[in-house]
Amino acid sequence: MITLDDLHGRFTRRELTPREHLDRVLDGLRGAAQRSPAHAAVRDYNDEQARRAADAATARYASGQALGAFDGIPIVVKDEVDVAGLPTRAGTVYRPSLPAARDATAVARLRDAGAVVVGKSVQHELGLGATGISPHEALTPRNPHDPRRAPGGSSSGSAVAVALGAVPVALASDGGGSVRIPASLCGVWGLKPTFGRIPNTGDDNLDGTLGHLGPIARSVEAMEKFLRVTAGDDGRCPVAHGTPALDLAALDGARDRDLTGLRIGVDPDEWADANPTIAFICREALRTLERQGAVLRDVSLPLGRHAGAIGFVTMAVEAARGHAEEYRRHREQMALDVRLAIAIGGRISAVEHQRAQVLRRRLRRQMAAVLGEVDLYATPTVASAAPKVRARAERAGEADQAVTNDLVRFTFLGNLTGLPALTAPVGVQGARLPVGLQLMAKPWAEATLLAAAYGLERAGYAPPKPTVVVGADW
Amino acid sequence: MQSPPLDDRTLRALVRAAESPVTAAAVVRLMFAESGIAKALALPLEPGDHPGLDERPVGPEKLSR
Repeated sequence: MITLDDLHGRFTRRELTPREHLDRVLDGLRGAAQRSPAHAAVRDYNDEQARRAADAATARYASGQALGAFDGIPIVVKDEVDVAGLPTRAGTVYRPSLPAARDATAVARLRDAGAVVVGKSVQHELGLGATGISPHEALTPRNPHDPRRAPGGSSSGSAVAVALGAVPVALASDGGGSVRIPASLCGVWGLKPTFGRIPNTGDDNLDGTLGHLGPIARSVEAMEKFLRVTAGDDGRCPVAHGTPALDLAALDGARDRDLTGLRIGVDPDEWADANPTIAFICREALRTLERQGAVLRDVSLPLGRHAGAIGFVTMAVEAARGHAEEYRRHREQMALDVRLAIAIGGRISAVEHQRAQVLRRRLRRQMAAVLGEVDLYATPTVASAAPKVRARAERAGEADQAVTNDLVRFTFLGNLTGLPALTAPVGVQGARLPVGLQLMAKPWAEATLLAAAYGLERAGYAPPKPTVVVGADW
Repeated sequence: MQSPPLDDRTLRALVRAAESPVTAAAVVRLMFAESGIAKALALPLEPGDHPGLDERPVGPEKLSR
């Protein structure tokens, strides 16, 4: 599978130009979607804008003035994130298709680094779902490893575009696991940085206390470079204001960091809630890190089992507030699962919400205690395999809470605490379904997460080849 | 929000019930019970659950600075 560094190397050696590559990607993505809606990862394209950016990058490489590793690299951006010249519809069918006036901060920074925005990737409506299943036409790509199954959400199209091999990295967002869940189910890497690390400016869906922007990627270095380009206060985002700068020395050393003595915490009670095969595969991955010098320790996070419940109350109330006007005007056009979540969020009492926030503080204290004993906290990313796409879910939305509970079982913890979390592709379950290992770190310690991820990559962990690929560069 | 999974018609009825002032509270209770939220929210308070010093309300002396 071609990675960001591979592409940059080919551009630099003039074996391939960004424009030639973009044309292949556009043809590949459209061709795959035409062959089967199951591979429709991108909702909106702006070919002219993308080709202009690719031509500019081609000229820079030709004159030896490339901007860096992102120059000419094709990316897709989750629908809910503003890209000037493309509509922001957040997976809905009722928002107008008028183009956004300006880029989100993260998009602007990626474009300033030379990235070429291929298009807007499909997503679970309003980010309010973990399956990526939508009743709206052509908005449910299937899992690239099994077309009967869901890709995960809410950043479904971003994960599918990366898993298909179309782009080396995609911009996604995560309010309850929406980077990590689809990345895990599609067998690629995903990073949710510390809350506030990347400004949310230009993603109106992230105006609560849970949402983060982050990358879904084919390689660890793509996540690292994405973080370097997009992180830092932009003066316009309250949650990014006053946040510490990236530890560049730690990031520089992450790739080759000696993992000797790195302490990784495991709560056996938490792992017992995961499908045994998934737990086994994730344990094997941890043993790989152990062989590189890491030390596994049992820890205890008693409130972890309630993170999904605390997270649902928090998210539903924030969604009911944030989408009140859309709900009032357009609820008949919403998927039923999304509509139900907003309706319930609007009926949760202030006392219940406050109670959930008290528990959230307790959860944070418990995680702080865990991370006082260890450097990383490990769980499977999701508790069960990618769910099957049921016909009734395609008609109305997937409202089976048991399905969602399994998907967010371990991920909501990262959103409730704001701690950085990463999912790594660590194997396949059965014949082909990918399995993800989640690692969480102390606040602002993304470099520690990346060091462990590089360790896994060194040991051979990488995205598995899907049943369909886009382009010939796998 | 329920088990076993609902068919379209029942799901639509549940959504309507969640949107009706008369039945919404019952739907929330049902959903809380079935998804483990009721159990979580019923956990007893612990001493550390009181707000920490960093969360103390800002007083007039701070506001005037």
